[in-house]
Amino acid sequence: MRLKIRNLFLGFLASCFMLTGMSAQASMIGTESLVAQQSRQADLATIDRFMASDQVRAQLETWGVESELAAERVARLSDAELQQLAMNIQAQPAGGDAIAVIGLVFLVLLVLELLGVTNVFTAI
Amino acid sequence: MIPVRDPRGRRARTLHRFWLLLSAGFALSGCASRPLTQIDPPAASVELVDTPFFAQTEHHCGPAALATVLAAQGLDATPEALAPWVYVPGREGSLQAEMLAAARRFDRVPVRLGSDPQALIGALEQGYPVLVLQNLGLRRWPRWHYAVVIGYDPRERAFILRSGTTRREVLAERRFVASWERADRWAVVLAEPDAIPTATTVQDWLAGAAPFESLGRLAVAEQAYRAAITRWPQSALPWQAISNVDHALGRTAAAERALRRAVELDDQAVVARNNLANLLLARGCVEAAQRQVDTLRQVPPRFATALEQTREKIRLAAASGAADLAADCG
Repeated sequence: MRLKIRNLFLGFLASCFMLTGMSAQASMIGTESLVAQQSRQADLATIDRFMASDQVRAQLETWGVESELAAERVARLSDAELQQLAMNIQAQPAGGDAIAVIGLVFLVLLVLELLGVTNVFTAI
Repeated sequence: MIPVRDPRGRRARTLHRFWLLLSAGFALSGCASRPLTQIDPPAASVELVDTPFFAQTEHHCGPAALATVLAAQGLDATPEALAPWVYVPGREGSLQAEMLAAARRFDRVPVRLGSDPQALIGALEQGYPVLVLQNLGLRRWPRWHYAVVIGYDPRERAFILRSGTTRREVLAERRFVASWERADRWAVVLAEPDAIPTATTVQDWLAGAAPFESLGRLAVAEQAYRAAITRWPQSALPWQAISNVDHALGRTAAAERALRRAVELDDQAVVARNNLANLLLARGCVEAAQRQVDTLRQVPPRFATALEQTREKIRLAAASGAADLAADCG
């Protein structure tokens, strides 16, 4: 628990630094920044790759990805991807499948399923 | 709207009215998503029947779907081999960013398609199976699922997918689009770096290719950028992109030429002017660099930091008394 809070705090700190752009910045603008969608608010010049990598790697490890593998995987992420994950990896969708649904959720889903709004049960 | 094809038609109509009423109730209670785009159905159905199939194991639809689109291009990919790169045990699933990153390991450019279902059909007609993210649950209780769209049947108004443990899933257009809509219409095709799919924009193509540049895989990036120059000769974007590769490889003269071409095509290309100013400054052309940044009337906020730094560098150089010594500063 204490470790978790510490991690959260460090993560928060890291994102603060990233967002305020205290990292070393290049005055040349790369292609990722050039074509980043406006909506993503990507000011990639301000991303600190080192700090963001560390943060994302730590989270992957917490989620059970083996340490070395996590570092290798993070190294494959682009600046934009890394920035996005560093900011809100918790909220990112993780496509798995649709098997375990219980209780009330099940009932609601069943009704919606019958209404044809969703298709949880036909597409596992 | 309901075609009367069989004796059950009347019952179906009554049922349909009942569902409509109920759905209206849900719409009022805020369950409705934004209206779906109408598909202009193609004349003939399209189905990429040769697309391989990998049945997913529990929670492993990510590796399975990714293996499907890779193997469809003849690449040696299996869900088992991909899982260590994309599967996150603690989330019982795979993240979109890592799916794209894994595709790049195979030198494939992951291109995000537009949010129109028509774009999916366009890609299918060109032979690309489409990797999609669906939300099979609700916005509030999401059930994220990766699948591969391999066909569309205009008569049934249904999409055909390789999905989960189902080799050929036929999903009514309305249902599919709704589930796709709840996953923010995420759809990706994997292209070879020198073969740009028809249904894409210069922006989306470059966005798919740019990570190769950021990650230092310059040969792949260059291939993709050169293809973009051929495909969109009037766009300033690919020239700016290629200049970044030239610059990274130390081909500064080529980088400068590409940027000059970019500003010819788009006088207000902010990145081009900014980068050109930096290159000019690096070879002692302070005044010429100043002229480049002065040409810009407006700078979007996301480039403001970089541009401010460029201006600062120019100020410092000017303050130290440097003047344009080179004859060809331009």
